[in-house]
Amino acid sequence: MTSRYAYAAPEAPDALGAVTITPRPKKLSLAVPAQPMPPAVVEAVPSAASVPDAVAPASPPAAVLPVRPRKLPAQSQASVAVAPNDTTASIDAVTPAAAPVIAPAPAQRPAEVAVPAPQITLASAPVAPQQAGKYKNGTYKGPVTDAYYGVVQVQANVANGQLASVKVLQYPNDRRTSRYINGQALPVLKQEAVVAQSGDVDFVSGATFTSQAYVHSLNQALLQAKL
Amino acid sequence: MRETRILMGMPITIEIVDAEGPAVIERAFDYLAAVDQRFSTYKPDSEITAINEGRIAVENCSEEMHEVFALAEATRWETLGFFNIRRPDGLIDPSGIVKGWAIANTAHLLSAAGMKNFFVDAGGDIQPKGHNAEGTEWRAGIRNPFNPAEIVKTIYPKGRGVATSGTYVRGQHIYDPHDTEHVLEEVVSLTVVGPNVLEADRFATAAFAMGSEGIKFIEAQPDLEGYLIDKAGIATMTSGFEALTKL
Repeated sequence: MTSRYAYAAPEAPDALGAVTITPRPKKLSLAVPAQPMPPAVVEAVPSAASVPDAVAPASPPAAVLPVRPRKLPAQSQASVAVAPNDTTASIDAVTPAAAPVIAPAPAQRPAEVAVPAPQITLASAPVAPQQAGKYKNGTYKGPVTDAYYGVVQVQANVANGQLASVKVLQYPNDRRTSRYINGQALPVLKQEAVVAQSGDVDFVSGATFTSQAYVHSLNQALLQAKL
Repeated sequence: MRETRILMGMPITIEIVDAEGPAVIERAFDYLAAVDQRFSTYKPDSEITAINEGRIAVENCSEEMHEVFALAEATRWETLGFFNIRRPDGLIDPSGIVKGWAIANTAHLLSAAGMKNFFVDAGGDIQPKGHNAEGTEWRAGIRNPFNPAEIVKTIYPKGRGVATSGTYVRGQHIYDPHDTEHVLEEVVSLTVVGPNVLEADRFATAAFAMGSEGIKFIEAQPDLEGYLIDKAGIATMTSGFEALTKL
């Protein structure tokens, strides 16, 4: 019998010629069939006014969970054409006509891209004193890293000997990312220094273990910056 | 009535405020034990082990296993592929989704048994319902990742689920599985509050794996709030998080 769920589908969706994902390492070809990658580009925005919540991915998961409406408005997704600035990437070209595309943060942004690539700015946050002067100032690119689901590449910017910001040069390509990055800019999120609190609580939420590991190139970027 | 047992490799606490016979809490733990028996990758006779060893084809597995696989696959799509139950060695480890799923199902079981005021806490992921023994909103603490004996925040989930993903113990880090020399330690804790504990748990797991970007991912989800703590002890919260700290 054929499997009931996309989970067991043996092949990656191939609807998206624009993006080539680095071939998966051998580890994925063992006991169970390889799973499809989330698609790189999977939707065409039907109109600027409607949020296409139910857009079917190229190979949609069979389990349909409640659709989430999004906080981000759809208007700003309409036209985005970006070209990656890093030729070492496995992403060859991303120049869709109509569909929004998430792509590596471009060095030279086409005029219609209104929103900057995600950037974490730590400059205003207090930094633990023991970190001072840990790194050489400069900009360091991490390697393009295969992270099961696609490739990740980050760039670490070091100022005053400290990690000042991290720029995501490459990101796994997916419809959710495309809305996230190409949509309206997120508000600046509030930060605070954590302080132990007193007071009664009924239960405590905390991690017991982490089952997911994440491949990240930041550490390699910082290795280059190490004094 | 409050009882804690070790199941699925973690302490699981169920507190029921309503008057009830011990049979209800027993049924809840029986259910969790059955989940453990089916989904534990540590048990040689579990169904997931049989699947990983090729003794049971994915197509022929139980309805529960199919449900969990489908949920995991849906989550993978919804989280940019950051959520993945397939381990680097190719085996399937569904523990990242089974916990939240099992807590949510246990809460359904208790509700179906007529319980209105209770919580189920499995290893720090919690589904509260109704009110506490004092008749007020359940109060959840967020554990201090730098000192497990402390909390750094008190929130009122008001029936929503709470889950935290992270790495707490000093010296224990998240490694790049391809290169264990490289330690990923920027984010130490990410707490997510969602419509229920399953939603909170699966998105907490995935967003944690995104590193510092994870809190933005949570912000972009209309029904999730988050509180991220980095290694410098700086917390970043989503725009709706502060409302959870107020009654």
